[in-house]
Amino acid sequence: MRKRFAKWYVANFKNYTRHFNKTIFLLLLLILLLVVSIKYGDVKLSWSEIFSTFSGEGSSSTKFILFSLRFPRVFGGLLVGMSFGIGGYIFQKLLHNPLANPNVLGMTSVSSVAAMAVFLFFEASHLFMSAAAVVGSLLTVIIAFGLAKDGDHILQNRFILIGIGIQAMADALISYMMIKADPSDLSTLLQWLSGSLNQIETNQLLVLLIVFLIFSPVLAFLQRDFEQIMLGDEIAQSLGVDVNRIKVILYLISIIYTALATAITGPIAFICFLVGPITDRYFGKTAANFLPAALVGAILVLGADWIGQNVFPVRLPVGVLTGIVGAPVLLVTLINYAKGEIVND
Amino acid sequence: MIKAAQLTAENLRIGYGKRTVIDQLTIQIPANKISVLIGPNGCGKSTLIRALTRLIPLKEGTVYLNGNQLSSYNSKDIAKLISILPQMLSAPEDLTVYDLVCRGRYPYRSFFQPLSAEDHQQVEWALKKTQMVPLANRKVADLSGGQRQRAWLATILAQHTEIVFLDEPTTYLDIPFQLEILDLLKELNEREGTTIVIVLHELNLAARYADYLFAMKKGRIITTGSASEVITKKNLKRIFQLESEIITDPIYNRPLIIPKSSVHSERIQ
Ligand SMILES: Nc1ncnc2c1ncn2[C@@H]1O[C@H](COP(=O)(O)OP(=O)(O)OP(=O)(O)O)[C@@H](O)[C@H]1O
Ligand SMILES: [Mg+2]
Repeated sequence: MRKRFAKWYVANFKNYTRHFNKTIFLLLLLILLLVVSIKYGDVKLSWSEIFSTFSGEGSSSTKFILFSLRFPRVFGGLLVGMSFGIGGYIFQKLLHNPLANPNVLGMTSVSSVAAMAVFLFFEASHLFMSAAAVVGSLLTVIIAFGLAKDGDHILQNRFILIGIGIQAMADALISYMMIKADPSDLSTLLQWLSGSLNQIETNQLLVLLIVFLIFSPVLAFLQRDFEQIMLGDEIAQSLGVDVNRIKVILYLISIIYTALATAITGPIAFICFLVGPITDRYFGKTAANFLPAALVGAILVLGADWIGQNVFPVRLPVGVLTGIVGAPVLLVTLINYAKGEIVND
Repeated sequence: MIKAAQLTAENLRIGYGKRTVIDQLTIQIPANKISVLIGPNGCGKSTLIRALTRLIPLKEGTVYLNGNQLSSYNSKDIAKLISILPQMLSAPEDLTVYDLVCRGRYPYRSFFQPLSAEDHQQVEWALKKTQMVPLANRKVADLSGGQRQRAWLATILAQHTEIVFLDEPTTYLDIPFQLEILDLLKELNEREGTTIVIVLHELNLAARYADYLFAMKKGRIITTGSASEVITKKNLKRIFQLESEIITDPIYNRPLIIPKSSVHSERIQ
């Protein structure tokens, strides 16, 4: 018996180290991306320029590049990417289905409509846009759940189809608003709608940061419950998890993360969708991989943004890049789904 | 032997959505006994078990645990007294058997508490009882249907409760393993006084292992009692529309059913 204990501990320890190493790898990759994004752009900054700007010296042009352009962009991208990552991951895992994510379900589209409407018609503040995005997303989920409910059960296929329908309606509304919009607002809107880190607002970012500080410990506390729920709702309940309560909390967290992020950058195509499958692939399907999902989200956003800004002759918003990557992945997932290779329960 | 927790229910109405599956059902689970629930497919056995173990909400009526309303307990406290092996379980792909069985210790652990020595002991014991020790470090996804069933059973055993519900625990098992699992449950019942409720379709095994039988049909319990009281020609006809002969099993002294195929019974008549 002792021997088997020991064996389990060894196996478990190996697992943990492997997991830990992979997380560290992602972290290093992310740091590399941060450094590259701060150093390289239209203008390449040397280390000495960066440090001297930090210590208050430095030219006014490097000051402008660093503090007004690159830092907001990089830290905004970091925070938004992590939010999309966690938000998407939670949804996909709770519904046991990679298609069930804020992008496909129309949550990000409705958030966009709401934020846009507030911006265009009320000329309201950016914080008000964030609030509208959260409300819009929340309504989408409530309506989709409500319509897909059959007794006490959620019919998954119906839920996803309803989400796609809501998304189509939201997109129609977006087109309508574009026509109605003042021509002077159009270019900002267009950029925002394709998902871009150009217009990051510091006060919106601050709200997201505060939300992060509050939600991170909550997620740490819910980790074990989340892992039990991944065994199946019934068995988790019978093992003593308050499944419904935990799920409501997790859905709320996911909705708030993605909606706040959407209000800042606009809907970055497929970002929530991509995170789940990538995280599952490298970290397995049975642990609550909130942190890896956040890192994957941030790496995707920052990587796609840097490539979009620097590699092509024209600047491409981050959403265009993630769209190019995401669309084929979605296609493959849909085909597998139709073949029944993705089991949902 | 300890006196196991008492579970009773009064005037239950249970269903899904607007549909009522079970109405006006009152039941008392015999403490420290093995009860077996029999009945045709779709008659509501799983539904009844789910309601008795708070997996689905009641439409009407009350379930009592030790005289208190079940809904007044918190989830973890119930999970220390009642465990359930549901009928259908999906495989958690990447988990090893050992890790899966550890999940059965959830109700005994607080937020960040690691597995204690006692947790490991219970897990070991459950693995040994279900003969899963040699497979402990294998991934659940790589197991056969029967092995998977035993891994789940071990998880439930590691939960170490006074009442255990099992919904068709022998479905995927070969006959020796069916007997082994039922013997294991019997031993658990005799040694520790665990109250056991099993849904079984194998009527001859039901008759052999049950201290008490509940026969259901169309959402109602239509007859209850010892094996010899419930397993009769007349009852089987009534419950399953099954023509049969009943003899007494010469070894176990319980009723033994010889079912007649419909063609055969017509010819005899
Ligand atoms: N999740 C559900 N949603 C809606 N209806 C359900 C659900 N589960 C069961 N039912 C219905 O309730 C009735 C009773 O089903 P239940 O699963 O309790 O039967 P059972 O006696 O366990 O059958 P079996 O022997 O096939 O397991 C059936 O008519 C079934 O269609
Ligand atoms: Mg059943």
